[in-house]
Amino acid sequence: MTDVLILGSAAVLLGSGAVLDALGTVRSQARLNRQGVALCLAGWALLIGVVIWLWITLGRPPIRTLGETRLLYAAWLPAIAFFARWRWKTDLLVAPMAAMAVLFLVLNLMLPEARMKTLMPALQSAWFVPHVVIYMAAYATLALSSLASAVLLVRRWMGKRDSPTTLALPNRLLWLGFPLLTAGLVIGALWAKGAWGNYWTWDPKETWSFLTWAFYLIPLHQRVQSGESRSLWLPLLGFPIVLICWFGVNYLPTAAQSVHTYTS
Amino acid sequence: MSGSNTIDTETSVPTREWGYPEAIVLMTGLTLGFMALQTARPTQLGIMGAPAAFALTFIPLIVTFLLGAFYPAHPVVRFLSGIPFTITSLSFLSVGALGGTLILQNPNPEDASKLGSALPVLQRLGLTDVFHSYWFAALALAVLVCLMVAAGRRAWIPGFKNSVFLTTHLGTALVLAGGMLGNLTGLSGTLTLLEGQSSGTIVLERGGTLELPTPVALRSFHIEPFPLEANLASVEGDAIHPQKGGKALPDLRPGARFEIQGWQVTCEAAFPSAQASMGGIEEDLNGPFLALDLEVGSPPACRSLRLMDHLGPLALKDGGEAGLVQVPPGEVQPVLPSLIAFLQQRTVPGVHFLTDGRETVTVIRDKDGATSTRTGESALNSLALTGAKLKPTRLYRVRTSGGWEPLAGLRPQPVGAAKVIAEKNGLRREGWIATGPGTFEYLPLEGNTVLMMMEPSPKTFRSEVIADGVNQSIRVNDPLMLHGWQLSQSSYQASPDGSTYSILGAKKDPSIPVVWTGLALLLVGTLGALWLLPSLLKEGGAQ
Repeated sequence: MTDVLILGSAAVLLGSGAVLDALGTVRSQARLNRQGVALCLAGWALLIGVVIWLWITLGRPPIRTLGETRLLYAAWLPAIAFFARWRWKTDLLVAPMAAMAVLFLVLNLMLPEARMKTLMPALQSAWFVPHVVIYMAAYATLALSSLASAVLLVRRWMGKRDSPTTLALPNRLLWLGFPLLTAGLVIGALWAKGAWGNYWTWDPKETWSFLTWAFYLIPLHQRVQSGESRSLWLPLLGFPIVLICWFGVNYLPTAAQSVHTYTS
Repeated sequence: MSGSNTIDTETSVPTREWGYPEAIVLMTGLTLGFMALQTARPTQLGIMGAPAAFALTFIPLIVTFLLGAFYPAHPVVRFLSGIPFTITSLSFLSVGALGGTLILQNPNPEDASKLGSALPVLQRLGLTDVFHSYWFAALALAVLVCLMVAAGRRAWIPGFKNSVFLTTHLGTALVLAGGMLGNLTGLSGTLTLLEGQSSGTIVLERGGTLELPTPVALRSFHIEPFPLEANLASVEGDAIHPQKGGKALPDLRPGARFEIQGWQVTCEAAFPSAQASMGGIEEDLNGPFLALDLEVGSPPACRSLRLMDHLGPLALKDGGEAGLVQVPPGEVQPVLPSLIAFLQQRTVPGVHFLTDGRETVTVIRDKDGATSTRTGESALNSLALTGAKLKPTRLYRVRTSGGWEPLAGLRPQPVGAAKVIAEKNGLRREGWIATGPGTFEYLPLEGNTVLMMMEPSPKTFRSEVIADGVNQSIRVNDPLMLHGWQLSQSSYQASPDGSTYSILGAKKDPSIPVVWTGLALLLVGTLGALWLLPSLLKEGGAQ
């Protein structure tokens, strides 16, 4: 029950933080924004605590199962959002980020997993932790880019005019997430070479990681060409592609041909 | 670039630069053309010598790079390095790759039969082996050309930003080129070694065999298991649902004591690899399980079957099946309709005894799917099924226990077994829990809650080999390099005599240095792009 309580508390804190932050934005009350951020920070601290607790009690990195990667992802979301808030002085991401983290935590609460300590031999590699941690950081960053695009599109639809700095946020996150995605891909190739002798086999999971990487090249090149950030739709479209790469691959007709089934 | 107009200085006629429409037409033509070639010559890319493959891959790349470097303003160069062609070629390559994840690749005969009449068409078009098809290679080549021309155009431009551009694009190009080289020259297969034997024969993925320069002898094969893990579970009919969430699962080591949802559990003995040393079934008036002994056939050529709910239906020699379904007291009549409905969906004839220990109903399903029932005293009378005579001889209560003994060494698909005592509020449960093929046993605790063992799993496995006269170890993530071949520990298999086959992946790929160089450039370039982030965003993103 312990993890249910902690994850539940983290979800409540993040959810409350999202509501307060959204209210603060709607009513233009900075005090509510600050309170929302404080609650989200508390929720984030709890998430980090759960990850550390799981790592200690399981005796292995808690990034093996789908639920464990969801937890890591939920822990990365506030980290990236708070970095963006600090670096680019924007509150745009706090509420959507917290809402998304709550969604993934609720998924974990609804779909619990047996806490097995075993780790299959292929995963006992020095590349395992950097590969998964960097990939989850990339996914979280790109998801926030999608969220920022969605928020900006809604605001535009409501007739609000955002500043160029705000409009640049999805691109900034994209430029941050893409190198992480590339690093995850390269580390995965190095690991695969050591484990199986092939750095790339066009396995369904590998193919989708290529598709994700290739897809994000399009908005990056579009931005260079157009020299502006009005193209908000492409980062938004990237989100489902990332989700397919992460766990949707398990439902494809070729899923049985994949060797990357640790998280299914 | 699409749609922008320029002035041709010699003729003063406005000309439109090629953009997306031309790029789409070109890539469509390229795809269809190579698909047609594939149809006319339905073979996949084959192996060739490294020099020829290097020439085939790198000469066009160098030419296109030089084209970009020396004719940067030429319309064709501008088109091939422009955003429309970049995005279009990348999109075509991505859609091709997507096809490879939606259509089963190199399907086995069973999967191939599901594709029916579409299979020959898919095969002719190379869609059942997308990543070795001509047209996919052509799409990759188009992206490569785009990368090299773009890099060539920037070859003479100084500055850090441009270095980042060159590094990322050349890095990506080298990775792609290395991949194509690997397809043309790489050799991949498996080397299977039996303990105590020596072999150098690699069974190639593309068919045929190849001898390693020197044979490899497998001295011994070792598996180290993780400690066995216990878990609570709920049992519903044949299904067992392990508990999820909560704390890390406790280990089952000899002498271990742990608490799990109020039950104090002591593990008296534990064997990660075990075999049953006796029947494992004890008659017990208060036992939780029911068993029905069934005589099949006529004396002297009859045999006995012991039916138990958790063992599932047993196959009969002359076809059909027999099973026992145990329900809680008083639940026979309520469960009967759903059992009949379930049996009507099955495809084999059978006899199934539904019982709570006091009341028994026999459901007979004939080969046409019709069902009939016998109740009361006639339920356990003899009957005939698919020509065989079946005679129930005894319905009795049992507890599953018995002893287990460790195997000398851990064998593939191990059977884990542990003896445990569970106590809670004056209740005491004692018995063996085990797992493995056909040996599942759990310890009933309270209601439908049981204590079970999770499937044992190997922590490490390794082959101790002699290669080139030297003792070496091959384990997962720690391969052996031998005369240009990489031998990786892939899996293992039991042999009928109890020894083990070690299955090693064997790979030889002359393109690896090219790929590693490309990946390093790509990584360095990407980090450089991250460094450039503020200035790039100032230029384009925020304005």
